[in-house]
Amino acid sequence: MVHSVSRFEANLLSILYAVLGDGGGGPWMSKILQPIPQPKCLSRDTVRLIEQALAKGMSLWLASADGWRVERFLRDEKPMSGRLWERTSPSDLGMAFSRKSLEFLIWLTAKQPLLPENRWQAPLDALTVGDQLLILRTLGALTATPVATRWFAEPVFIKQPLIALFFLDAIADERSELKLDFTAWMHGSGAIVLECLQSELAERWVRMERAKRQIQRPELMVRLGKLQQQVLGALTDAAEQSGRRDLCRFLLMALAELTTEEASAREWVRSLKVDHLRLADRTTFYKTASAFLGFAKQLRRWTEACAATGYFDEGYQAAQLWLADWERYDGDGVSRRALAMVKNISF
Amino acid sequence: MSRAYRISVRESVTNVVCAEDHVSCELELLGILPADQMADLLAAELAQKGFERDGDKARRQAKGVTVTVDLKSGTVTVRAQKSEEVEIQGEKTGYVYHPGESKRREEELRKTLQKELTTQTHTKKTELQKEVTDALEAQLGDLRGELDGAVNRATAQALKQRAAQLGQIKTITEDPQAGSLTIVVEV
Repeated sequence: MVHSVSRFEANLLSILYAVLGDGGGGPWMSKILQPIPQPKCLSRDTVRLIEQALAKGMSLWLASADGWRVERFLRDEKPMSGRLWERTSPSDLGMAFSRKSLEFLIWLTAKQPLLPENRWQAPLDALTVGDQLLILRTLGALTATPVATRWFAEPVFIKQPLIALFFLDAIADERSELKLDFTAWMHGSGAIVLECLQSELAERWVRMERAKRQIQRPELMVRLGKLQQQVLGALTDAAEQSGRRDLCRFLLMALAELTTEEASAREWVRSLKVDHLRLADRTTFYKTASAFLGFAKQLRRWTEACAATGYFDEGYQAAQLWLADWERYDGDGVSRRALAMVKNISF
Repeated sequence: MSRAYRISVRESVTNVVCAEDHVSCELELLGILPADQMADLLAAELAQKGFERDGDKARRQAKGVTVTVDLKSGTVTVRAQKSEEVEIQGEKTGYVYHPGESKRREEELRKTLQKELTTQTHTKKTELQKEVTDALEAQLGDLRGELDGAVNRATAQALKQRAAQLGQIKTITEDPQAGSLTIVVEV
């Protein structure tokens, strides 16, 4: 079926298809940096195409991320096994996009995002899970461009919990404090998104930790360490309160990959320029470098709490699922190695 | 023809410069026996390495470095400090062409000289700090191994005592290379 769209609408759709596809450098970047004026409204055909692209594109992305894997996650406090669409009822698989998604796409097409006067504004509580996912995908497609560098300094983007989880090291260039609320990601479509992104999140955090080996500036290491503590603290608090520790599985996965027998925490700080400092002052930087490794203590506390949960206690099945994950990723070995690395990093 | 008047100032500064550095870590002391008994076992092992007990702490001083072990909590603090009396002298010379300016010029020269002497004192402090930090760092490598060894031996002793409380010890097999200890107890 052939649809007629205006030049503006064609640009908007090109950008959207590129974001939902694999991004890449292509001519779609020039459509962002050379905007054209926004029309009074979009045609009905264009809106329908946008809806279809979002519905199919996001579903395909989540399905091909971890949705296709046969995994166990909680449904009504009970572990359910299967691929995403097998363990979730069809009525719970929907994801809502508000008009904010449309406004974002129109802004991206009509305004030059590098100009200081062109700031996109939207209150966080007005953004649905779907809206935030679209923005995350866009940021991912624009990584390593000046647009992304600009957005990593803007509150409207970095206060979105998922962006903080994925791009914390980029955010640390500018900030050392972030207050986040992960409640929306612990149930409904938010939880489903987190289930599907476990492998990507684990990979992202492994890369973030390994990149610490190249950090030379002590103040950057301190900012990143503080942000990691804040973000992971907010995530694990929300997970514990809502009984969804399973959504933090990616932390175990990442720690398991980072804490091999040969790993040494000294690698984390090998490029840090601290030779001119007293040992007492270097310790501060070393401790913040091991902020993520130190989170193994929190995960071990969870395991102890789950092991103490009795058969007749509330949350027994959820506790058993966490214990199964702990065993699957050798949580005892991982936490022992991680905490030994933290202890040895400065001594 | 105008004459130039030479102004000279001399200053001498004596300061005591101090430098200090420290690092802390935790030893892993398993609670096999009650805390005070574990503390006693650890103190005994550390005594063989030249530590002296002082209540709940064990202390050793060598090569300007003090190692303090809290026997109950397992916190180890390694501290190095040094102080030196430093005397720095300096002289500055300037010229004026009018005798009325000599007092002002002398003040200027004195202020400049004092700043330079302060900078030199600071440089001395930085050098002394580096000495102290290097001395501390040089000690850390061997110290870790020493302390871990003491903790392991104390733990082994604690296991033997605990086993003896549980029943009749039949055999004890130790492999220091592998760091393993096997105790067979008849209960």
